[in-house]
Amino acid sequence: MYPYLGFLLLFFVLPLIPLAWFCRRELVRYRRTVSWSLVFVCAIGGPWDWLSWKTGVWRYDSGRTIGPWLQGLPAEEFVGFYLLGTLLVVVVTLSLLRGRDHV
Amino acid sequence: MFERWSYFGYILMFCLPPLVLLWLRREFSQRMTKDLGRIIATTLILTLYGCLTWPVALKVGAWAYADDKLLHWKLFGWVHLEDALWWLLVSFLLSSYVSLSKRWEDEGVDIFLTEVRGLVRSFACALRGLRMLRLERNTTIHAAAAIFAVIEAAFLRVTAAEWLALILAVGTVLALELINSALERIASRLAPGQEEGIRLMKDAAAAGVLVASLAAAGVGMAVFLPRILPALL
Repeated sequence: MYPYLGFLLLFFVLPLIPLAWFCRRELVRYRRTVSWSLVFVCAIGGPWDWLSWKTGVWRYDSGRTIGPWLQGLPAEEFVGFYLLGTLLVVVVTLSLLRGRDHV
Repeated sequence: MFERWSYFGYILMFCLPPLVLLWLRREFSQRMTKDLGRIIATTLILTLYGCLTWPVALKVGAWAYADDKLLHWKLFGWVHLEDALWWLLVSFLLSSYVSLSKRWEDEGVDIFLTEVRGLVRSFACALRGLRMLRLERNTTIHAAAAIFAVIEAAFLRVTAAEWLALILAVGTVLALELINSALERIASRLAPGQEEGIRLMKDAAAAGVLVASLAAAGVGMAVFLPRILPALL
């Protein structure tokens, strides 16, 4: 029905839940890093995504997304890639940076 | 835009500049190098994960690529080269930033805000420096000539290429004039007398402005004369 949403739930949300729980303290402690990462991704990813859609590199099937749409991009794109995608990279990085030497 | 290289080109276009911003600065790269092993590990894990999952998204129709915008080179017959590169560069970029920002946050510094404030301060200083245009005879003459050239170009409806040449010529003259004025003031402050070496240095800087001005005059003549002369003769 909604393949994009299903993909996000299965491959982004599902791994994020245990990972975010695992490094919940880091997520709170380094909330500025997390927040600026989201800003950083939106600032670079926004124009990139829009340009790619506008020039036809990728497209979405409007009948198979939940919407709403903004500038040709469905809500799944914003929630999925900008928010969940960023959080996925951040939590994996924070997990691996756990307990490093502060030299 | 880049035809078959579109997706590939966009990845390089949007990922490499921020990577250069992060890794070229020594104070950043020194900090990130301490975590390089972990950054690479994060990158490899996420790239592998992305390479395994994204073809699934394509198969179920989450999104689709235009056939004429891809190279159609598949790694292991499974994942598009561009998708693999996307994951590689995006996760390397973001994990580099997270590592850097985390280290700064450990030291009580919000690196993003610090950088933005520093950038704003630099712009403010540069804008203040434009006051120099009003302080010397030659700079005011060049500023007036620049305004004349821009107005004339607008009325004569010059082409985009001619605008480019004019803007470059005018910009070069004004930039060199400002640098020359700054050099003159530094030299006068350091050696108020007529020391030979200092005088040669000031003359050379002034000669630089003269050369740029002559070149700009040449550009102006090449652009404007063919339009003005037929009306006069």
